[in-house]
Amino acid sequence: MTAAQQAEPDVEVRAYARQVRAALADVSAAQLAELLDDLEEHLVEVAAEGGEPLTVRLGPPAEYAAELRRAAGLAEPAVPVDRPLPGWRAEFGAGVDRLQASPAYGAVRDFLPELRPAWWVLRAWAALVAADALLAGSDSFPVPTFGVGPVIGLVLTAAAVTWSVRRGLRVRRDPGLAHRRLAVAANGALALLALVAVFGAGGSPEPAMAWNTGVPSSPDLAHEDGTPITNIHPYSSTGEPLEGVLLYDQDGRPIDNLAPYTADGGEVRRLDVDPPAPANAFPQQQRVLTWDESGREVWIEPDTAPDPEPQSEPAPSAVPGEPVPPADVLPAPPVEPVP
Amino acid sequence: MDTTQLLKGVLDLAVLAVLDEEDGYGYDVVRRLRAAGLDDVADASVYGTLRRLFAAGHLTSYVVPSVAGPHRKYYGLNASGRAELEGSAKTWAGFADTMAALLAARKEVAA
Repeated sequence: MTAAQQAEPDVEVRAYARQVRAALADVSAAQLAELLDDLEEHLVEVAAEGGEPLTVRLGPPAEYAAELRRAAGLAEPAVPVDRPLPGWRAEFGAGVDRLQASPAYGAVRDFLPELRPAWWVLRAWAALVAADALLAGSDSFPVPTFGVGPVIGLVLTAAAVTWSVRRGLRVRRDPGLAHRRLAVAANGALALLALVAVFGAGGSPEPAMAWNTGVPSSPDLAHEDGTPITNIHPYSSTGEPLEGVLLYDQDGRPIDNLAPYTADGGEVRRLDVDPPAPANAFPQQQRVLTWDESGREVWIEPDTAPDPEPQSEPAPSAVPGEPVPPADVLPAPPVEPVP
Repeated sequence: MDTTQLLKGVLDLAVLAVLDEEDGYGYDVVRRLRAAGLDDVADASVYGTLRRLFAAGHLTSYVVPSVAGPHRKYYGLNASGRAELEGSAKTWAGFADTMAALLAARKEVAA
C-alpha cells in the first residue's frame, strides 16, 4: 500500500468523524466523549476493510449520528441538524481536518467565542450601513445618515446595536431559542452586506471616502506628474510678483493644502511672518530642508526682507521646493489658466 | 417484513447474548451479530446500544492497547448484565412462543 493510499482513509475517517460530531453538537461534552470514544477506531477499521467509501458503507454521517443517538437513548436534537452535502462539503471538510490538526487552530477556536459581543455590535452597524447604501443610496460611510443626517443615523445605530446585543445575549443563555439555521443565514448575509458596503465605499471615487464630518481630506497639492506643490508665487498680469495674495477655491474655502515635502523628501516648514498672515496667503515664507554633498541636513532660509528683485534671481537652483520661475519667463508670467 | 424494525426491539438482548459468549469491542460485536445472521444490524446502533447498556450499569469496559491497530474498548457482562440477559431472554422466549403459536394457529385455520 502506498503512502497516498494510506493517507486517503485517514482524511476520509476524520472528515466522517467530524461530520458525526457536528450532527451531535447539542449533546453535552461528557456524554459526547463517552458516546464517540472509539468512533475513529471504528471508522479506521471499517475503512481498512477497503471497498466502498464510508458514506456508502455506514450511510451519511448525519444518519450515523442519528442512529447512534437513538440507540444510546439520548434526546433527539432540539434543532434539526443540517444534512451535510457530500460533494464540496466533504472536500472542504478534509481541508478543515488538516487545519484542525494544528495547535494554533485550537487556541483560535477557544478564543473566538470571546469575540461574539464585538460581532453583535458590528453586525448591527453593518446592517445599517448596508441598508443606508442600498436603500437611501447614501455614501456616508462610518455613520449611516439615511439622507437625513448623522443624528438620525447615530440614534438608529444605537437602537440596532442594543437590539443586536440583547438578542445575542438571549440566544447565548438559551440556545434552543435560536432558529440556528436562520441565525447562521442571517449572520452570513450580514457579513456579506458589510463586505459589500465597506469595499463598495472603498472602491468608489474620492468623495465617497470623505468622512461627512466637515474635515477636508483632500490630498496635498501636486502637479499632474506627482511633483508636490510646496509654494505658490502669484504674479500680476504685468509680471509684478504679488505678496500676501489670499487664495480660495470655488466654495470659498481657503487653499492651504500645500505639500509639506519636496519631491526630494525635504521638509517644507512655513515660517511665521509679522504681521501674521492666514494659511492661504501666498507666497509663503518657508524654510526647506535639504542635504548637502556630504549628506548633512541643511535648512534653506528665505530672504528675511522679501524683495521682488532677489526673488527674480534664478540663483538658488539647488533649492528643491522653492520653484522660482526661471528668469526668462518672469517678464511674461503664465497668464493662461493652470488646468 | 422490515427486520430493522424488529431488531430495534431485540438489539439489547442480542448484544447481551453476544457479550455473554465472550467480551468484545464495538466492531467485533457488530461482526458477530452479522455472522449470527443479523445482517441488517447497523454499526451505529450497536455502538449506541453498547453505550446505553454500559450507562445502565450492565457492562464493564476496559481498553486493550494494540500494537498494530487502534486501541480497543472491550465490553463484558457484569452481574447486572447477566441478570438483564436472563430476564430479557425469558421475555423474548415467551414472546416468540406466543408469536409462533399465533402464526401456527393461523396456518391451521388456513389449512
